[in-house]
Amino acid sequence: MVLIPSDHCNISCRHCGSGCGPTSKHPWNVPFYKKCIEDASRIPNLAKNAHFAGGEPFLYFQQLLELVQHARKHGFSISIVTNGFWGSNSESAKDHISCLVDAGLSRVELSTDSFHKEFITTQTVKGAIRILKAAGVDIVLRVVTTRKHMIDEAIRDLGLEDLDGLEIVGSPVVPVGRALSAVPEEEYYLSQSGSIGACSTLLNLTIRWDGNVFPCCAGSELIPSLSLGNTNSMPLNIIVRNAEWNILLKKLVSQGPASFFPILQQAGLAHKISPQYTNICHACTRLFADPEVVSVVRSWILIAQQKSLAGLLTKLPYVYHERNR
Amino acid sequence: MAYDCISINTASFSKIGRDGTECYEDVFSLLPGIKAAEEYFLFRLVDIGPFEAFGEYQILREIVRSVKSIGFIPRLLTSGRHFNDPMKTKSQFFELTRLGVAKIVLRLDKVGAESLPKDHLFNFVNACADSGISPDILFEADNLVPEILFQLLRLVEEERFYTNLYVRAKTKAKQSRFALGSVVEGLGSRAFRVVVRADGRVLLRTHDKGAEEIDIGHLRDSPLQNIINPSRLGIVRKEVT
Repeated sequence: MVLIPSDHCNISCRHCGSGCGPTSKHPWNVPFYKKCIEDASRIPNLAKNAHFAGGEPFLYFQQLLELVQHARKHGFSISIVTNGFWGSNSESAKDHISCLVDAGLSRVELSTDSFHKEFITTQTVKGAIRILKAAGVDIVLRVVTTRKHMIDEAIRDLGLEDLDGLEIVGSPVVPVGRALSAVPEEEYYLSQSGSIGACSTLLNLTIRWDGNVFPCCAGSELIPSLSLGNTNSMPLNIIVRNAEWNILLKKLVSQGPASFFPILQQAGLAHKISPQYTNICHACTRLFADPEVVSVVRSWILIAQQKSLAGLLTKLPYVYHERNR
Repeated sequence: MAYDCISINTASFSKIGRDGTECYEDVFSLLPGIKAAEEYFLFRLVDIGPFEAFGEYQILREIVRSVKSIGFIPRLLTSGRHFNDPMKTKSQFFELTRLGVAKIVLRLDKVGAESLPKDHLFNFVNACADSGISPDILFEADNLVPEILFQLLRLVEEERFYTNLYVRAKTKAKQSRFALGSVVEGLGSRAFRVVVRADGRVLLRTHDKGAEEIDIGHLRDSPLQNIINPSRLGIVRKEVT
């Protein structure tokens, strides 16, 4: 379960698909997320990991701590994503991390790359790594890359003492959100096979500050048409149960966004399909941010539902007959 | 749960090791022992390698199948030296992942990275991607991160856009032998893995606060489940929190 309590961040990276920054402020709603955690703890097939994302969660330390404690109490393991800005003030940072570890924090995903380094120095990142290591927290370095800013650029300045024991995950910048205008087009990794694949391994339950629930945190949370429902109008367990019957989601999960291409081609919207994508998340967000595409897909879903219902109805006499035989 | 996972030397699966020495026994006979000890493991994960899982593919396939059949997840470690043929690598990875392999990790150090042909690296990366697993690289460095690692990462990124790297500083493990009646310190709270050596020795290995390797017994004397029974090692089991 991914919790996005705010898009407020202390920095505004050029590559940020979510458009987070100092000007976008949504204060953390602790009672709302406590309720989400309680509801989620009762969903049987949900892996019990609560991942705090943003925005920058450490800007709201007291709220973060309270929610970490609450999630732990309800059986969740805890991870947090951060840019590590707090690594420059080692004394207070040590105390903060220590409190979070006592509350149940086990893993931190530290974002560092050429884009974050425009705001957060390598020294600060090193400080954050040292503090986390001393506290026994598992660290994943999250590095976004482009053709110009490759992974080695992000980790070259870190020494073996910093990198030892870390998992380092490099992934391409996706041309959505702020990145679309702030990262030059020629820098993106794009390929004809970018749209191939399905998102069965990317699924999670992402809950945004506005109550909207999404099936992943890899871009769907930015696209209203991919919302599974809103917790302000429907309980979380019902949203999850309904998702199991969501044809759009099923198709994305099992066949991927490229499976919608023939539907768009048939509807005369072939021009909406790009020849190249960075990855399936790029293809998905690009397609479903387009109202025309959404309208065609919705019609297709309606027809698919009608067909399956009709199929069921034709079987009913047989079922009735079999039951009464 | 006392241990993270179990690591098995693939040389154990043949009677004669790569260096010509006789191996203790065929490791298929270990599997019932692993199954019997499953409650001792936090993750039901069997590391097969620890340096080279490939080479005898037919045997590897059977190991994977057997490990999976006892409810454990196989993870393979490889030097990449056998990945000279792209189609063969792809079909092997495809089959292994369908049989239940969760990860195939390319394990390198400076020497291994410098001697790894580029096409082997590309075959590994593409076979991983086509099989739906991430191309994981475990790099063990002596005292500095060498330039070859950065070059290798750039090649992987150019090929598939994604990279997944684990960096470890090489450490010389402090060796000790478990004496009956004593206590393995930290068991139940520190991260231990069970290591089965090709010669039949069973070790506990830890990496936190300095690597430590404790020889806790030999398969010739006792079945695996008895050797690694936490109560034999002097502790009352504690849950890892």
